[in-house]
Amino acid sequence: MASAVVNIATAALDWVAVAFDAPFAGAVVFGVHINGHLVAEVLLIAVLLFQLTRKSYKPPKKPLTEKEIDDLCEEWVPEPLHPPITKEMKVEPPTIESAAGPHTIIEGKEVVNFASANYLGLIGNENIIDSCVASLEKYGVGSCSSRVFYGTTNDHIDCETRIAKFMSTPDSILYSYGISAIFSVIPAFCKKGDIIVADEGVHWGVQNGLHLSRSTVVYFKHNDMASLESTLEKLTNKKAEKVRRYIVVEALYQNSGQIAPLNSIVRLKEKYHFRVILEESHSFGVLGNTGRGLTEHYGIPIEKIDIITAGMGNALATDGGFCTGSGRVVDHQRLNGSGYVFSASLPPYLANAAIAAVNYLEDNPSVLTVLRRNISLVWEVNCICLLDITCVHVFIIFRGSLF
Amino acid sequence: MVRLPYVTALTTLFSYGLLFAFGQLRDFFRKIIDWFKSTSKDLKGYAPICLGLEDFYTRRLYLRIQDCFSRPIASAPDAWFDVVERYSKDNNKTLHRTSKTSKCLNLGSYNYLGFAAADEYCTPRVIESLKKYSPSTCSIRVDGGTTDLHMELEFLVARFVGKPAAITFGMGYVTNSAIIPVLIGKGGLIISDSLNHNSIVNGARGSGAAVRVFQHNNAPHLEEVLREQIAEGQPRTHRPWKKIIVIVEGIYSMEGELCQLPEIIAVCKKYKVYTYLDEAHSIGAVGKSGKGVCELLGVDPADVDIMMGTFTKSFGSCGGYIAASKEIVQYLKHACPAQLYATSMSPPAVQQVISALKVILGEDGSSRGAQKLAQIRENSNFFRSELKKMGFEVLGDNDSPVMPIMLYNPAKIPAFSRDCLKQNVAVVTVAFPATPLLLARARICISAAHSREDLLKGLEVISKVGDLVGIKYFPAEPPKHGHQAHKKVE
Repeated sequence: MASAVVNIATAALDWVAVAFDAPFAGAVVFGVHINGHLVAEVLLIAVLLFQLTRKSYKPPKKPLTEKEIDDLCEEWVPEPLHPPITKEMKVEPPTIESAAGPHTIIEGKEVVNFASANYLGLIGNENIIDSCVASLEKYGVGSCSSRVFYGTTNDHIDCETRIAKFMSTPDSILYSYGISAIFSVIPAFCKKGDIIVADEGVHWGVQNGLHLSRSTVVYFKHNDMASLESTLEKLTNKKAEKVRRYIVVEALYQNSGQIAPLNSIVRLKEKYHFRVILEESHSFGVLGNTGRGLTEHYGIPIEKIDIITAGMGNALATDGGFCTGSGRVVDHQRLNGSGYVFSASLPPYLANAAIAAVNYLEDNPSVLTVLRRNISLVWEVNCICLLDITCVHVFIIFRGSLF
Repeated sequence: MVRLPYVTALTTLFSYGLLFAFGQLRDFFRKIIDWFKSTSKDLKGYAPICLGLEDFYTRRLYLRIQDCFSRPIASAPDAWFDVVERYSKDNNKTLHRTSKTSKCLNLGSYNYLGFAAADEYCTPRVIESLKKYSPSTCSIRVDGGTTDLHMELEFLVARFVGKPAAITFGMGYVTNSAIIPVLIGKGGLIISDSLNHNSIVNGARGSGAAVRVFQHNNAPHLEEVLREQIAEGQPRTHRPWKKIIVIVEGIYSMEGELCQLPEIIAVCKKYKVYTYLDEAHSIGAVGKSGKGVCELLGVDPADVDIMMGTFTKSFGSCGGYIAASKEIVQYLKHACPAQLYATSMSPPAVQQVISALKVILGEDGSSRGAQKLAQIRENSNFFRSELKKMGFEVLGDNDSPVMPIMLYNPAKIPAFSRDCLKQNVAVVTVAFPATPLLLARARICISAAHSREDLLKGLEVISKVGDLVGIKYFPAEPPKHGHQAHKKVE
């Protein structure tokens, strides 16, 4: 079978060769010998040119007609704006009828308040209230403008200077809402392409900031330094000089009540060349011998932490937030912190309350001893009564002075 | 609409080009000088915290005119206030306060109804609530942060705006950025006006939904975008969108324009999409009884699904609110992160809003509210018409208390601002990045606290400075009493 095919093929080739060797095939045109293969090549080129001049096949585009779009719009059924209302959603939180101090009134009954983050007991403090009254009579309530356009009063600048002096940093910047401090700071310093290593247990404000920054975020196990070290190890590469890298942790976690081991974090940060953003909302005014936060608690010089943010709605019993760090860090936020530039400034009376609260804290560090005594009391009682208090929240919401 | 003359556009581009070139030159020399100095050991192995390009605008352009921004004040931002004088020893790199102040006419603060300073009805009540509730509740709304003041405010706001229920937050910016992700998520579509505020942009980005933009205030273009998007469905999979929300603002603060609300609502109803109206600048400031653009333009509040506003501008306080149907508000109270994780609004600020609302509604027993509303409308219209007669290019619609005056060239920004301050008028100038690069402007905000004399003084100063700086881009109307005093166009 195969040999027969070969024979036929050889015969055909011989016939073709004879045809090419025929007399006309040896003609000379314009001094060029026309051999057989030249004819084949010319024919091929002609076929190629013919094919190139044909239009390529494109499937015809059929855009939707107006009627079809109308039909689609008619058919489309949107989901409702809210999901079905369940019984849980109808539950209203308790309404308090007096100041949220250690004892408060709910529905006419006096109750002990374990819910407010009034760590130093500054709610109801006479000095703070007097300074607020003076401020209200002078400035009214709101500042009616952004910080950039006449919303800066002398009180704001004084408050920033006071906080910076208290924390021993060059400068600080004031935000008008506690939670907006962290979610403005992170996008101001972290952009697409930067690397952030964050703890799993950070609160919503931090998570929102991480999401808005569009950087690469890698989480490590909550408060687990071994997990942090292995994550940092994986992320080390030679391009350190071009990409900004941050570790984001909270000093005292709102969700779990645990304290971050800052000494290990600083050691790891120096080893792997990362910067640290420390969220101190619940530890400012609580940890450390004089309430200066986690850095004092561990005895670490504050220059080692690049950015510290805190909300003032907890220990300082006022509203708003601040961020402190080196001069460069603070100056950058004055144009790039979205919660600073695009929002009205903190009402002046709250800035005054912050100054009064920091003054009180500096003058009366003994309030922290009372706080710690109360905390240890709750832990003791906890053990004795074998209470199943899984929410470690309880120990941090005890008020400063106990009557 | 802004009509940018060609010559002005060319000169503005040339100015920015020159500033950019000088900035690059200085950066180049700085790099050479710094190369000789050794880099500090601390920063070895770290990328710089602020990348060179990000910072270029701040270092080379903004710092030159830094004294026009962030001016501290030493009194309440009323019609007249004390601006603290500052000096600089190093060419504007750092500014230091002095104890001297100068009394200036305030044309920059958002004080539409004059509640910024201590008010005879509001302040005593605010002080009383401060003494009762303290400056802060130190708690989140669901855990002991809801006082009876907060409940009263929510009822009052809902009644004022004309919706069944309302919910309040401690900061206007957070209201937008925390609510939008709760209402819509992945699989949804947000269509927002091209000139929406940064808080809305942040909220839209944080929600995970797809975002499309329609031309500013252009209802036919909105319809076109809607038709295309509903027909196409989600990108790549072409599944139908889960829901679509259109976000617009009542008054756009950089343009002073009112939203074309009736047309936009008509389009949204036709295509079954939800509407979100941000009335930060219009609530309390426009409308016969201060109820915002819905009242001014004759739109039924029931047609807008979600109405948002802030208390900073017209009520002299802080915070924001959302007014919608009872079910939506119940859902938001349960699911919104700003209710679950953020400190509740400060009680004295809540009392300020309650008292201000009572004054506006006339429930304080006087007609001050109606007077204030009439005053601001009259003031805005008078000021705007006078400015236009002088030949300035003023943006915005009638009845809107925000009026931007176009400056264009970057050098005119500090010139206008500093010259007005020398003559005791405080104005706000805005440039890139809050506005497009070529369209720098000075933004005037009128208040009900301004008297006719204040406005005339303001007009006189602005006219003089306008002549000096050269921003009267249109021919002035001749004065009516027959003198042919024509002012030439620059």
